[in-house]
Amino acid sequence: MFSSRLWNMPGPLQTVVQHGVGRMLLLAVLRISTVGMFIICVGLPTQATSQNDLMLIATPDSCVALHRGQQCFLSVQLSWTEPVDSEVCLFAGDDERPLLCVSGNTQGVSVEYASSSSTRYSLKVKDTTHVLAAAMVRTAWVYRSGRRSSSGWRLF
Amino acid sequence: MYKKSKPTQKKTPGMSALLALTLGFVLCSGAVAAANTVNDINADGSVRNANGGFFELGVNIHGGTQIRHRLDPEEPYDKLGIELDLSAGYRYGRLFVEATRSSFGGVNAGITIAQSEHWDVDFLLASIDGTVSSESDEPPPPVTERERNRALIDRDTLYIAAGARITGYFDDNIIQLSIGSDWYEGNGILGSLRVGRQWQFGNWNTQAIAGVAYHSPEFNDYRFGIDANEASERFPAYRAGNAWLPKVEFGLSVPVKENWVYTSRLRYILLPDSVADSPLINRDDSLSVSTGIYYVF
Repeated sequence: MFSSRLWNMPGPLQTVVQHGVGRMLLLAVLRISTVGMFIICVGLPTQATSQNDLMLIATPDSCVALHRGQQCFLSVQLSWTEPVDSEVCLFAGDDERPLLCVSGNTQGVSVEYASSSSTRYSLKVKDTTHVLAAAMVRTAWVYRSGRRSSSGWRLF
Repeated sequence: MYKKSKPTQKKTPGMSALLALTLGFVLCSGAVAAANTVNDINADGSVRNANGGFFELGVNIHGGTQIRHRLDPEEPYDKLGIELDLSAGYRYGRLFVEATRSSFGGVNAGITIAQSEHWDVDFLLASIDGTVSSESDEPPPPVTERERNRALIDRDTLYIAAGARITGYFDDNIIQLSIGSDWYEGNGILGSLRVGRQWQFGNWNTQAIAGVAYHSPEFNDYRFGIDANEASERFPAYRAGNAWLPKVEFGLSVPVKENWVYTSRLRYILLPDSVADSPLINRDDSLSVSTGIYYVF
């Protein structure tokens, strides 16, 4: 793919590539680069295993209520991408009390979402304030202009 | 197909419009005095009558009983069908247009002339409901018995009324009083008083509306009366008096996705004697059910 792009490149670079020695050198560089990139790519998941790249994933991440301002209710699955060595706790918003605490190896729990706007869930090591990862769940509405607009009888 | 003939007391549309406008202004002026000055902000800080609108299109399955006789007496009165349903509304400043799918809705265009924390006072320029034939206003007179029956069954029921509407909002409750006079052809006065409430259970929304509609003798006769010169053997002449029609509606809705809503409704109307006694009507109540899915734009 790289080389085909190069053949199509106009100007001096194409001139060099079309010559024998230059072409061999360039292909060698490309091969080395490709191998290098492969090594880098293979190495990336290793970096993700560190807790700095831990991700908290909410599924689903949005809840739909009927009218603007209404509270929305939803069971949300919160999962984190890598196991954590210690016990972890899940917090909702700025609440200082955890929703629940589980073993870091659990990697997923279900929580009941209930909000008229949004809730930020955060994962912390138990008895610490350090946030390992966070995820947001938002409320959306079908009727976004408010239930009283346009027609009072359009209650739903 | 035909408009009901009105051999006596026929008003011109101009006179009816004048009557409707006068009625609306008189009612509105009294209501304005009761309401506070115009204020677009509710006590909770939300905007009640913000600019903008909604448009939704859906498909629903509906079933119910026909209250009007059919041309063919053997034709079943119970009906079940699928239909496209459209509901829309738009407000700009004090001007509004709305067409709701509630059985109490119809199409309304008007001006909000006063608003307080809990009350809106609207002047209705046009409140439209009923059906009208696309055929000529002056078709050849029916000759045979079947033609006369068809003319009676298919005749126009359209009205376009002007008047006043007062609506009160109290949390999830709504109360509304409206009255208008038909200016399309001067077919009398109609009004309604209704109360509605909404409940939320999880993401489900339920709704109940109860109310009563009023038809003046002239309006009720336009809808359900039969003049001597249009009567047939099957449908003899009938003079309808005024009518009060109690109505209730129950519904539930749930969002399916961000722009999709599933809605079901149950409607019941009790027909008073002045309606049920009409030869055109075959029962003394009406029950209908509909269920469908709607896309909200």
